[in-house]
Amino acid sequence: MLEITNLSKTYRGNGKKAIDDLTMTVANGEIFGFLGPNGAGKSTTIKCITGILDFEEGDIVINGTNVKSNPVAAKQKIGYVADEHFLYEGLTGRQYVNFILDIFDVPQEIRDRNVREYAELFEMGEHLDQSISSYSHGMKQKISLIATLSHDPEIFILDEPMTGLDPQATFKLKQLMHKLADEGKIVFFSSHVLEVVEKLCTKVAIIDKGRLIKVCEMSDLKENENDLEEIFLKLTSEVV
Amino acid sequence: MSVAVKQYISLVKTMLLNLFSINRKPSKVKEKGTLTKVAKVGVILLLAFSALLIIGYLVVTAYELTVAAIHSGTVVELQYAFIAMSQLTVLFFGMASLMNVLFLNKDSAVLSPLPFRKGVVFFAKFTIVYLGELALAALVYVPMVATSGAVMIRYGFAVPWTFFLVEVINALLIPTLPLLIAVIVSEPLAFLVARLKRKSLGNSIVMGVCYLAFFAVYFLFVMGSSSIGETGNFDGDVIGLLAKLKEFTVFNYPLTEALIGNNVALNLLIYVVGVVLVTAISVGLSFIFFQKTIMRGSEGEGASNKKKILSTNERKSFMKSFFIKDLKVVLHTPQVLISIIMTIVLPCLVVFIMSNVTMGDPELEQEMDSKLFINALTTYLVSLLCCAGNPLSYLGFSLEGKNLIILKSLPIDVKALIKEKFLFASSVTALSAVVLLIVYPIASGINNVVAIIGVPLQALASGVSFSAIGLYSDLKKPNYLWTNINEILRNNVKPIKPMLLYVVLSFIYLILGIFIAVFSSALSIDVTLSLFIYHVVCLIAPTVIFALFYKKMLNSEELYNRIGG
Repeated sequence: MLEITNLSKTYRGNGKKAIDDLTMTVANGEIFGFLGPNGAGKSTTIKCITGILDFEEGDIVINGTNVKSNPVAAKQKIGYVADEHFLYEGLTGRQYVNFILDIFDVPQEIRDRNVREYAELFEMGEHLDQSISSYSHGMKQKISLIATLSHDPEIFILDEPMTGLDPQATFKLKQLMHKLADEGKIVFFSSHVLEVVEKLCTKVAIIDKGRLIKVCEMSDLKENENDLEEIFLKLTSEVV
Repeated sequence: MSVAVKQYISLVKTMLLNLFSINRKPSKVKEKGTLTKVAKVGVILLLAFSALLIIGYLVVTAYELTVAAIHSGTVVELQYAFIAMSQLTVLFFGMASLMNVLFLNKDSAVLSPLPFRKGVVFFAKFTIVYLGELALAALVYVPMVATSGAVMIRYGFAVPWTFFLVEVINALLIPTLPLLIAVIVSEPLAFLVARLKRKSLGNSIVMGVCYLAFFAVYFLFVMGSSSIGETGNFDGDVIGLLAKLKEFTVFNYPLTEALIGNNVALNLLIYVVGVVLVTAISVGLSFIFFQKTIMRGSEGEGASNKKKILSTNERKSFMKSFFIKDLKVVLHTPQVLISIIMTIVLPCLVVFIMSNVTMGDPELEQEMDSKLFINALTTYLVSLLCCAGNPLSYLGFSLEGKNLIILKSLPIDVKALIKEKFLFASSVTALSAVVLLIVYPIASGINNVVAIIGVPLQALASGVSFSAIGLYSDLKKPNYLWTNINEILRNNVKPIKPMLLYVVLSFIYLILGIFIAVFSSALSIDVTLSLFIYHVVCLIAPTVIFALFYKKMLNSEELYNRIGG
């Protein structure tokens, strides 16, 4: 379970709260869509969860481990795919994946099996031994996904994961997200593509100006025949 | 093996692989900036030539210093000086590497979310800097001390059998202390900078100030230790300086004592224990500052307030607007700023050192006119430094990064853009030339107007013509797909060919200068006339290169249009 309680984060530069008293819970087995307009605080929240950014107030607990007081143990449970790719361009894809797996101390058998499986899934097998510097944006996204999936995280955090992926890879990633959720893992992802969120997620949260303005089950929305786009536009314009 | 050790080994291995890009299968897509065979040979030749030049200079210097030290009874003090000089070199160059690798490297984006044990990232990055500086320390220390030992044996000194072995061990230990000191200084500084609104500008200023401070210390040291008395002995001032240096660098006592054969094992052990203690302090500091600095760094720049945004809305000409933009990019990119500062400061330092070492040398005076010789030596070095040092001269377009593609989408006159890049690069050289115009007569004591104007003019001509050839070569194949500025600053192969050309040209200036100095002295030709002929001849090559490549560069619209295609 991912529990975020009263999270607040202020960037030193402008003194404005990027996240303001955010509280939400994501249960195991959920595909959780995290929505919001540009600059709403989605990436900041994700960076706080993954331990990239420090925060002043609140708590983030991942399956019983507090991110602030025990960051290493918390990170050990997270698989994170960022929206921007900085990869070691001098390495090959395989070297990069193995580096990440070394850090997560993944046993040889598991790493062999997982790397092969995910490389095949994303059709990266023949590119694994090529330099990352020769990869396209989509290939970099795929290698990040392979590295993250291969260490078998308990919570899978993706920031705009479909960007740059071809339709086949996007389809496979969606299937994979369902599979991971079925296995009891958390899939937490941010996106601007509301159609994808609507079809994929079991639960969505909408954030604007650093504040959580709505959390709802997708099944409730569908039952009431509500359209996610309408709700999103209505809620975010109300805040304005 | 503990998890932390495994993580450390893995991270060091990965960073080294990334640095040297080895074990890589050729990709189907042709990579930008990939070394061709010719370029590889060029790189090796250039490196070998540069290393040989440095080693040759160090060997000659160490020979002269050791002979003088033997005559003056200051052999032990000289060993202190050799260690201190190597440590200062490491401190000087290591400071920038340390800041780049520890705090300014964008790999934090990859490393921050990973479950590294405490201290692993810091230690791994420190190791990378240490390995780089080890090569530098060895390059400075080993030839000097080996020469010194050989000279001592030749003069009948009782050199212990362990001398050359301890020399190698010392070379391994020398980088540790200055780097750890640099960590202790830089961590709180980087932490403070990370709390500033304008982090990158703060970084640039801090690194610039640190650089200038180390330059000043280094310069004072080199100036002081390079004056040998007329009889070949050290004069009283130098002996005093060596004694003071020995007192000041008392922490090098175990290394020096081990070198001269006194309780070798014990002294080396004492030094290692000292290094461990300082390491403990720097690691302790890293626990306080390092992670927080990285986290603060991830926050990016603070937003400007509205008043400032409004004040920048005024309309400017294309040239002015681009010039200001490029200036801001440089100010916010410490790595580029430091290279530019070096381009301006290094020629002055060279003038000071060369003038101090050679002026009034009686042996030199017998063979040639020393002023003409200094002028030639300065012209040679200054021409080289003004070309090779300025990254804007050969990376003007690549520095734009992915913005280069966005620029292509804008209604920009390509010629105007090329002109702006050329003017911006040349402005650094112009600044170097102006500073030289002031410093050269003061440092060298030469008051001949032809020399005073000639040397800066030569620097300007070399720098400007190199900008034309360098920018043209950059435009032919810009490397704009970088994610980390170090990728293009360190691993750039494009300027190798023009640099080799300018290495050869500068060397010709030196040979020509020595030739004129010898003949001017032998044939009693007027010094002003000799200087005039020398500089006019030396200006021919850069003028021709400029004329050829400036025109070629301005007519490179096709090359510009090809970018991203």
